[in-house]
Amino acid sequence: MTNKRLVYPIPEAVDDKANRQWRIQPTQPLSPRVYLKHSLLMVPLDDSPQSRLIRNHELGHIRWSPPNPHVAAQRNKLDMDVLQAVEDMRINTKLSEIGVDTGSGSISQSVVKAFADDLLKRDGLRNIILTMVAVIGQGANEDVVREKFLAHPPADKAVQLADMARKIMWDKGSPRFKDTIRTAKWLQALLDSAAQPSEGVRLPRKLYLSKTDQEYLEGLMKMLGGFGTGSRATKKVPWGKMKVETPPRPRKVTGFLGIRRAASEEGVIPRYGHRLLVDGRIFCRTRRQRGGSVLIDCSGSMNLTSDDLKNILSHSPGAVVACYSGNTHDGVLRVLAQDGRQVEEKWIGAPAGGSNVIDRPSLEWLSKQPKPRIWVCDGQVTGVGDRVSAINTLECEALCRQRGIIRRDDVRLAVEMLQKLDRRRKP
Amino acid sequence: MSKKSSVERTCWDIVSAVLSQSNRTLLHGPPGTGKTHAACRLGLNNGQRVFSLTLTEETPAAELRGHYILKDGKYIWHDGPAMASWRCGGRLVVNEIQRGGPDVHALLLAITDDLTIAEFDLPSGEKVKPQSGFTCVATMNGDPKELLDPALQDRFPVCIHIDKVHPDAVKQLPDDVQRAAERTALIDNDERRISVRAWYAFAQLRQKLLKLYSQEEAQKIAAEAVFSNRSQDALDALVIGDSQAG
Repeated sequence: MTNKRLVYPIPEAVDDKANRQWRIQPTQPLSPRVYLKHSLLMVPLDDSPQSRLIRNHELGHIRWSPPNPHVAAQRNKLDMDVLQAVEDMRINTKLSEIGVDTGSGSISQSVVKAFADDLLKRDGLRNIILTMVAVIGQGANEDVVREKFLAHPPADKAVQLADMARKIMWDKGSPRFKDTIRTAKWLQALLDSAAQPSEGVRLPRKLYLSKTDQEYLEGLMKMLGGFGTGSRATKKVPWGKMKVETPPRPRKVTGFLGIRRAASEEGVIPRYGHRLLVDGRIFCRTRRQRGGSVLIDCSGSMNLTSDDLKNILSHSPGAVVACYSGNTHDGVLRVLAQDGRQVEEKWIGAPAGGSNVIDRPSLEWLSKQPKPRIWVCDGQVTGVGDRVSAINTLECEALCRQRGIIRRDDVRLAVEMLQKLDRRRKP
Repeated sequence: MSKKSSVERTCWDIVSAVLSQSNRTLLHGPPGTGKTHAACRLGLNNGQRVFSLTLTEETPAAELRGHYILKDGKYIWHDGPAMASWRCGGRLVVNEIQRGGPDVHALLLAITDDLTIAEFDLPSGEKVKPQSGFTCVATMNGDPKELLDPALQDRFPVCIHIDKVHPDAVKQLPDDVQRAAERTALIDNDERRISVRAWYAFAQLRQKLLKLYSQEEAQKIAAEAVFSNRSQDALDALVIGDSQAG
């Protein structure tokens, strides 16, 4: 005989606030929630092991989560879904640690399988990563999702990332909410760097990144692995203050790196259909013009000589060229070429000390310069005191991806790319 | 006597301060909080005797007042708790006062009258007056304003709402269940409430079963016996509540 009596959880027994009267509303297993401010708990009340885990998960939120997580999300510039996924992971793993049985998972196996399949078919990498993070510590559910994702690259990288997130969270013992914030910041930086660039960011066809999501995530994992799970992985180092230096540019340079599009009455494929009734210029002609920008990292790790800089300058006609380097707390970005004119030879060299320190401010400057934007850097970025952090590196990666900045590791690769872009008339 | 600031005063501080001073006191609040225990034990004057009675809808006034009983072929008068406590200046404890019928209420009005004018004529023809020191403490669940006759309500000017489990009752429990017991005993919803008695029974049973089973088994069996289908949720709540918050 089945027991049809409702099984009420006991939030009062875990709540730190005495005399708080909890209201309990029955709900479906897929939509449980707890409103700490309103003392309302919405959970399934049947006696299945899955529903029991859901009730315990929500009791975990009552015991361990703050009443206003959205305030914490706003303060730390985190997306709510990222914070929620990481906090769910903390609750699940903590429940498991204190001895609550989480083996059954919170949803039936068939539903989880269908959900994972649907996610793999329809959703982007972001949701796949967040789902994997949120399901960590959920016994059978975790096993099913893990198995599904491992069989479908690049979702298998989500599994590795979620495991890494768990290690980061448990790095200092039993995690508290501040560890959720720490891990969520890391995950947020990672997701931002892996996000698809917006529609407006278009690179010239020949510069399209050939990297697939799989390759990109592999590179990212390799980079993140080097930072470990301690504070170097999760604690952001502040960026140094950047000073922009614009020495005189007396040397005129001929040639073009950029292109301009102009409407025309003649052509083959119409591009501006809306102009048919205005001026009839519905076709497009491309013209050479000054354009493009190159930013060169002159820190010690790059080992650049003034000849290397001259090499880049000679291959960047009409482009904006700047180099930067930093001292311990600040740095200088020096504009070497702009508007078809270059600086004298004495200015060609590292503008400050041998540190990076101002990578992000320099990239922000670069993102406001004409396209295509090239960053010559080995990928090693540092904040004040020349300290490294995964968050800082991920921030720069995200900025590059979102603003269409192409990174080239050394001068040779940068020159190869500039040669492809060069629009000088070939002899 | 120590003076406590109003900030840290609980209902039980008020009860223990007032019970020996007031001659008519009503304690009301959720069941299982220790009202009857307090009425029978707290604030008794030197050697004061306690007479208690729990009312139901069928309780006759005669049971409270007294009646004739047949003994050795003769009818002799037998005092009920009300008259007995009047005669010796004892304490009359009336539990579940709201449940008494109209005749019991009428008798209670007479018994709880002002001590200087209170007087009762027994069927035996005897006139009884309350001795000095007589006190009456009534207890009930629910709100007296809704459940009690206004005249009877007026007889108990000292009316204390018990919103906390008596600390002595909580102290008897093992550390791991104290907080849960204190909180769950005061839940409004009857279906969800777990009384201190239930927690006490669970703790006792668990302790006894430890001789026969492992700790985990003993805990599970005790929980299933006391909390039935909520047993696993109760045990999980104890574990989660025992962990560090935040």
